[in-house]
Amino acid sequence: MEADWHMAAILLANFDEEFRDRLAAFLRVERHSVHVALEPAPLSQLLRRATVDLLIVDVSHRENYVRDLLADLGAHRAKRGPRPSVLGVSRVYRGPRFALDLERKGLRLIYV
Amino acid sequence: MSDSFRSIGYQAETALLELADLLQTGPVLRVYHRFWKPGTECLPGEEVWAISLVHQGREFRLPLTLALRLLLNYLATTRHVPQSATQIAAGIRRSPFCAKHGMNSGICSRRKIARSAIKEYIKRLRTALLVAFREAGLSLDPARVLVSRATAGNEVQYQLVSRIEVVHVSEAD
Repeated sequence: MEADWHMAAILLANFDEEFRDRLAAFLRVERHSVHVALEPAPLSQLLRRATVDLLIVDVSHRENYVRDLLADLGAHRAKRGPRPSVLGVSRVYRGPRFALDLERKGLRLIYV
Repeated sequence: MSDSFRSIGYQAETALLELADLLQTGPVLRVYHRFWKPGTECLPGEEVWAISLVHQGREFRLPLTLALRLLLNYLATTRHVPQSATQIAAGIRRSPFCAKHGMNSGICSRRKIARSAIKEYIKRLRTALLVAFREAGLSLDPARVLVSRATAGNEVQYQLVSRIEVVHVSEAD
């Protein structure tokens, strides 16, 4: 197992612009290094620029995009280890089946 | 809105801590010892009942046979030292815990584990770990958790890189 001592890098994806910018500002105040994905892009493109420790993705909309992202993430982590972790943020309650389905893909879901 | 951000921030910190733990000390394996006598700890007579992966507060049972449970339990208790197949077979043979495995129930459930079988058992253990990792949505390479270490010669040593929690279950439970 590798030791890991650096400022955590967080990538925000699939958020609307206003929420994303305010969340990014909040997380930067919390001393995280924050990157933002300006538009929905494949995972390989999202992870190209930096080593990302945590991916925070808005799962309230573009469900197919989120599912594709999680599928790609599974393949990415199988090759390169457990980084990044994934946190899903939803502003709409989608029921336990939806939550369980995403959690089984390794995503930690939070409603805001 | 700031409450929402704070919730996300807290969850982000938890997820990052979990990732750091995973990278530094490996996944958490929970070993259940049954037929435990209150006031004792890991004494001969107990049975290795089940072994689970713990991830995000959930448990994922490893599909293990008796021999594999005994071997993984042994590797868990001796995880600070990499050992060769010969050392593992000798350690299990001389271990009172393995010799009296499950004896507190009145039925001893022993398995002889030969040195020549260790390599195959290690493969099966990695397969079982992979099943649990996949179920947990955890993309870890089992070979980085149950590690083969090279030596100066042609001997290979095995070491479990994992955090272990032992849970004792008494006969009354």
